[in-house]
Amino acid sequence: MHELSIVSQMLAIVEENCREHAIRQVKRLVMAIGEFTCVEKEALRFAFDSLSPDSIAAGAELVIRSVAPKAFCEGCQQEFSITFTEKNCPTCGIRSQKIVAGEELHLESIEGEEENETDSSEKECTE
Amino acid sequence: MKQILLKKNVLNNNNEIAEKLNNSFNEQGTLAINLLGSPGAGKTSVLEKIIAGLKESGSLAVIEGDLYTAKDAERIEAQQVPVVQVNTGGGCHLDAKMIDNALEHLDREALDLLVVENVGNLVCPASYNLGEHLRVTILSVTEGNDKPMKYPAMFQKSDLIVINKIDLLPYIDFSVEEARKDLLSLNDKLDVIEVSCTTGEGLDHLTQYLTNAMKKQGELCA
Repeated sequence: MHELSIVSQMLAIVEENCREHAIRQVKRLVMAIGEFTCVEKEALRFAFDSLSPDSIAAGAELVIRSVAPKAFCEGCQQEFSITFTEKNCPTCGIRSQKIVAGEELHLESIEGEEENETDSSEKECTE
Repeated sequence: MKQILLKKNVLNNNNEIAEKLNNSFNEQGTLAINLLGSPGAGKTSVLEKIIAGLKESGSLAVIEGDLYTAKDAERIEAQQVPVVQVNTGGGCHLDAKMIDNALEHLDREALDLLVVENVGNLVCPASYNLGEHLRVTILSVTEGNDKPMKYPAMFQKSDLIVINKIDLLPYIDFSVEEARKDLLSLNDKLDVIEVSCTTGEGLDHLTQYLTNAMKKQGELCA
């Protein structure tokens, strides 16, 4: 997969959001990577270590949250864990191809220091 | 310290362009197919063989994706079909922006069918939407029975699998039954059609399948 390309695009999203929210230095990034995407965590870290020094995320911590794949059973109205080959609802036994988790390639949060920050109180804003 | 909470898809840029493409295809009544498979699976050969049949049902155009050369586009051009060759120069998959750019060279309003032949690769193209309606993956019998399970994401995300080179079955250790079982275990909505470009077996069935899909798209978008 394209760990380098993914990190490159992720950093572009980070730069854009930092501009918008007046963050001058990123301290922590959290990504959610679905297990069905076949993205290699270590390759992603390597790519981040290579590309981030020239960005607003230089020195930032990268947290990678793995997302286990899940499908949704229409009959039982519940989510259940799946693999590539096992997609049967544990309650009713019927197979569901409706995948609701495991295909994410998301940037979940950016944490950083604001411009002209004078105190270290934490503020939170949601997109 | 400030925390921004997002749930931003890193491939958002590509998905936005893909969605725009898909919408414009729907407006124009065009069926868009993403044709996938390993290098040498037979993507161009299968396309070459069914083009004449497809032309009878509507106007079509092809976008060919390769790292280098225009060899595939030349083969399609010989069938008198408008074709654009995209060379990625190293990139191992096509993305939506490349398709958007390639369409500038085609008369998109008039199209009933657009076939995008992706770069030969069973890994990366799975993640990049091109605005297509159908993902058709060619799996040739010479690649071995283990390929669906070794590349599950690609096969899970396909709509139709074309098992190609079935004329070679007497000479190799490939079980079509096992392949079908594995494929359906990844995605039980998959359609599977067996073909041979050498003998012609199955090609009429494939042409009919795609022609039906074209008609359905035309009716949906009328």
